[in-house]
Amino acid sequence: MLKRMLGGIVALVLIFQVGCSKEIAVVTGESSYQEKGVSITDKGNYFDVVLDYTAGLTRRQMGEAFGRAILKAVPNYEALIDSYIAENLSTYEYPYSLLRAEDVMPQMNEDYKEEIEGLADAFSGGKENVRGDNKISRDEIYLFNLFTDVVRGTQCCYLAVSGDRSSTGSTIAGRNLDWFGGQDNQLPIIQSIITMRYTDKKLCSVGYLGYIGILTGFNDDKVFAAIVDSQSGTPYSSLGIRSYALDLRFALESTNTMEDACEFMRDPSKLYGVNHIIGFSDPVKSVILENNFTGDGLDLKRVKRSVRTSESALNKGISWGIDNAVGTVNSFLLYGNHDNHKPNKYNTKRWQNMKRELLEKGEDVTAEELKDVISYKKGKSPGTFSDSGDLYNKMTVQMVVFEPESLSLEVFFRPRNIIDNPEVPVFEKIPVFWQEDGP
Amino acid sequence: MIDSGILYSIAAGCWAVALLIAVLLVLLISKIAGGKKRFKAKGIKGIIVFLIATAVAGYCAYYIYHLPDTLYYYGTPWAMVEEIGPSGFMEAVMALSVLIGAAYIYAMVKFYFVKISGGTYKER
Repeated sequence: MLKRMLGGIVALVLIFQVGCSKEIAVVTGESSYQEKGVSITDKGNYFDVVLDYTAGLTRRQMGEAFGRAILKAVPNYEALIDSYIAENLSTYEYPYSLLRAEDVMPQMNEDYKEEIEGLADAFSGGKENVRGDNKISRDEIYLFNLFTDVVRGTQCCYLAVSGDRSSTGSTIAGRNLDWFGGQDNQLPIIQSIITMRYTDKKLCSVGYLGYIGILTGFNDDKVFAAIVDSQSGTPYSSLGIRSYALDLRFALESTNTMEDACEFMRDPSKLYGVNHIIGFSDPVKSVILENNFTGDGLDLKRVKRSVRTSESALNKGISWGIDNAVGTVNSFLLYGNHDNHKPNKYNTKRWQNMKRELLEKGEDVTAEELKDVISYKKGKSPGTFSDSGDLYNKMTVQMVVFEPESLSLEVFFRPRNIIDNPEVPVFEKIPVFWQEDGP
Repeated sequence: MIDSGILYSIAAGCWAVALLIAVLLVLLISKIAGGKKRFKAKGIKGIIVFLIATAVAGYCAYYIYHLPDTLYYYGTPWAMVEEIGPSGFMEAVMALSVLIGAAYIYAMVKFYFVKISGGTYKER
């Protein structure tokens, strides 16, 4: 009897182990692929992509070549993205989101549209939109590229030290991307470093295969930027809006200074679907652009699209008080701006933890110490996003530490084959703009 | 957003009741094993009770399965809830699921296994 009971318990444990396993089987393709204008190399936990716009391809050809390269490197790419879209959009929401994306298209930069059209040419879905058919249609690849504008927001945080607070004397910036990676780890499987080479400019995006906007990125003028959502609860409308991830790419491509890039993004004539924040850094300083264009501010005054620095006055009850440093979570803090900070624990807790952890590092913060700050978690493992207060939490899919002056880039990517984030994030040093080849 | 403290309290309460039911179930099964109770189908009444109890348990399970839709948006995957939280949500859901399952099993066993000694002739 006892033997039977023990046998039953062992069988149950084995069943639960199989059922609860969070290991993901990753389908791998060619470890390296190159064709005119595009190269892609599997670096183990991310893809190193180079899009060479000087190769003489049209934007559409470039998009198509990128699409072909993606399918060589990740043969099940279409199934991954299609299932990711299906997980984020119910049958009911799916057609509405496609219509939203359609609303954004007229405002999109023609070059980017051509690139996306080219990507669509490489995929098998054609013009037929079917939710969950394991194919990517033209509209679905638009949808994927406009995800932050028409589907879901990213969460994230940003922190940077400069001047006397930096051990190097120049800026050290860190940012976490807290985004749902998909129940089969779809996003971590396609995480990549995408270098875009133009005649007179280079751009680096820490992003995803087939995503041509900028979530986190920088140019060779040493301007670093990362987006952070800051929803204020105002009604959503997609009519006449632009994509802020694509606009940020354009800003980094077409400007040479942080001030100009920032000014481009806060242009009052540009409307976006979601209120957001952009952390900007250059070798000397960092600022936080609070891009609130729909909500109202204090005393029902008009909205704010303003830059916050370490000295800026903040809304009542919110303090920073750390010179030569700026930080942000998913909330507006500037005095007079809409207060979406204090009502949300997930903002207040992370803000407090960010401040405390940074202050504990003293007056002279190194890159390693900044990593410690953005890796903060209260317990042994990263906690839930909404209530743990952990900067490094269960939703964190990327952590980036960047030093603009030396173009030193270190990134933690969630391992492709594991859904649960590891207890300790491991950063990889990533050479950018062909640093390994010399200047 | 629901407070995790409330959710952990709900989870604790559910586990306590589920544990009590488990103890009662063990006692019940020991009586069955000891030959003091035996299965009785109870005819049409038995079928109706089975259908109603199963429908109620199924209804509860269905709503538990769709709790993320209520908490976030329609179609939210459980994997996303696990990451976003609140942290007590999964514990509360697990405890509630176990409680409903245990209550269903106990009710069924209790209803269909009747006393052999001490019961009326009709019950036998």
